[in-house]
Amino acid sequence: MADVVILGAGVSGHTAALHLSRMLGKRDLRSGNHSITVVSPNADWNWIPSNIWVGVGKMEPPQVLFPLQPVYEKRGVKFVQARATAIRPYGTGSDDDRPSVEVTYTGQDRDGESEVIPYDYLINATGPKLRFEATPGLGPDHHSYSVCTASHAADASAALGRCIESMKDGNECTLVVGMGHGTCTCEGAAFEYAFNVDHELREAGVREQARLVFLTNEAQLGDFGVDGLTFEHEGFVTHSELWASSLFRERQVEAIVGAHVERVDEGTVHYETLDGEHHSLDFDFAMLLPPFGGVPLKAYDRDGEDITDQIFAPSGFMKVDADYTPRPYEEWTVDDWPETYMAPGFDNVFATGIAFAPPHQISRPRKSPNGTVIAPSPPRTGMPSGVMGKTVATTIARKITDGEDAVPLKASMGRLGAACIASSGAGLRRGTAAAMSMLPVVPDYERYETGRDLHDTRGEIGLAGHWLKLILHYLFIYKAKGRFGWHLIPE
Amino acid sequence: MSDETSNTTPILDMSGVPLPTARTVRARTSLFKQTMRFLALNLRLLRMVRKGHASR
Repeated sequence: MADVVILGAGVSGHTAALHLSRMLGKRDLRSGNHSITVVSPNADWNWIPSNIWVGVGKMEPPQVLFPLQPVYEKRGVKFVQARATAIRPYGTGSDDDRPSVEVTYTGQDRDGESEVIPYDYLINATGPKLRFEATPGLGPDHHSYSVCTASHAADASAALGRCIESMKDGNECTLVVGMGHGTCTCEGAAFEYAFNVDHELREAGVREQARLVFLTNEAQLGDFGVDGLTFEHEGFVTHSELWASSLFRERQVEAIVGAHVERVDEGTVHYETLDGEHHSLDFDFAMLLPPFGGVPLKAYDRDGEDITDQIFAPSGFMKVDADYTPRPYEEWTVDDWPETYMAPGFDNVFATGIAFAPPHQISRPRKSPNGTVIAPSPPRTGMPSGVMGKTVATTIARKITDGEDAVPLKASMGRLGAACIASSGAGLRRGTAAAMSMLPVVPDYERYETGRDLHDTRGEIGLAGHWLKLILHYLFIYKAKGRFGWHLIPE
Repeated sequence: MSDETSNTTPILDMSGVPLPTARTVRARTSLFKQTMRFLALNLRLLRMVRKGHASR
């Protein structure tokens, strides 16, 4: 008998829960032979990539959300709507001496109640804490919008709509889209939102009155937090910088690169650039993504001593089997990246998706002459996140069925590929997309001259990417609902 | 480097960046061409999934 606790029900945690329930078997879960408990503060699952479409009014929040409880009920998984607050990986020293997680309920009519949940295996897939507070004035509670959650995106859509109405009345507007801090990640999402806004402005017939500015922490366009991509295009080996810049020029989207947003006031964003200069830009609408941090979780040993700094990196992300030795960019290798996602010293604790602490950035880290770090953090979302969830679920299932000595499976981001599709518009004929794929996510210069496989690392623009993004929207929601044949759909 | 706020906005100069030809822009919405690209994109993603899973 084994009890598995999964913290978080995003792409990684939910994928792990679905696969574990399939591998351990509904009968064993229902009879209590094994248990899977998913702890998430949110009642709904959110297909986050489509929040971009919610953010421009092309979709409504219910189209990207569905309740988790019925899905888990059907699969014999216990759902606890709560926020994890602490873990005790060495046990509690009480009657049930197993390791445990402390949670505080956020729903299920038990708001504020605390509970201790013992575990035999733990997956930390909590995703990010949205650190709007890192930049004064940033975020939906202050002076800018976000598309990180469906409700944030709905608010952004309403504000964008007001801006468009104002332009229809003959006014001119400046719209700023991008990153709200020098260490943000998910540049691809901001890139996608910028081109969705451009599309909406054109559809509304107000593009001429709009100044659209992409404000990013990337040192050059097309970096995407993965040090850019080199790919073959029309018989040339080219770089994503040229590819992305061409799109910006074609769509008349202005760009400010290497920027760290210092403060957002009502209608003005203040930022520092890599040359150390400080600038301000007035805006009528701003969607600026926040930097991510680990979800605040404390860790205690058996005696109640705080061991948070042993388990978690200063960023709040959980340490796993990565090589965290500080090294300069030139000495980074693909071997620095984790393979099993097992926490050091604990063969029953794993961290996947955004929750694991990366060993370093993928893009070259830069500082302004003032010492301000302006360096995109590595993306760990989407396809890699799902594969990590499934890999760790398989490792745990094998340990449960074959014994503790079962060899853990590996899914290094130095081997995994990823796709990023920045799609705008809706409908089958009127949309378009910039579709990028890369293999591997973390460049491997020993295996590939350009760091990545040129056959699978591509960038292209057209309807095809838009169709793919639309299909992925429906396919992944179908999969996440655990419907017939869900496990045949790859992560 | 300065503590003063500059009045200029450091907009990236993209005037030298190539623009697509009219033919390239048409190809992006050509149903035939995009159907072929759609199939190619799917095959590429499936190949990536297979390679990624094979790394275990």
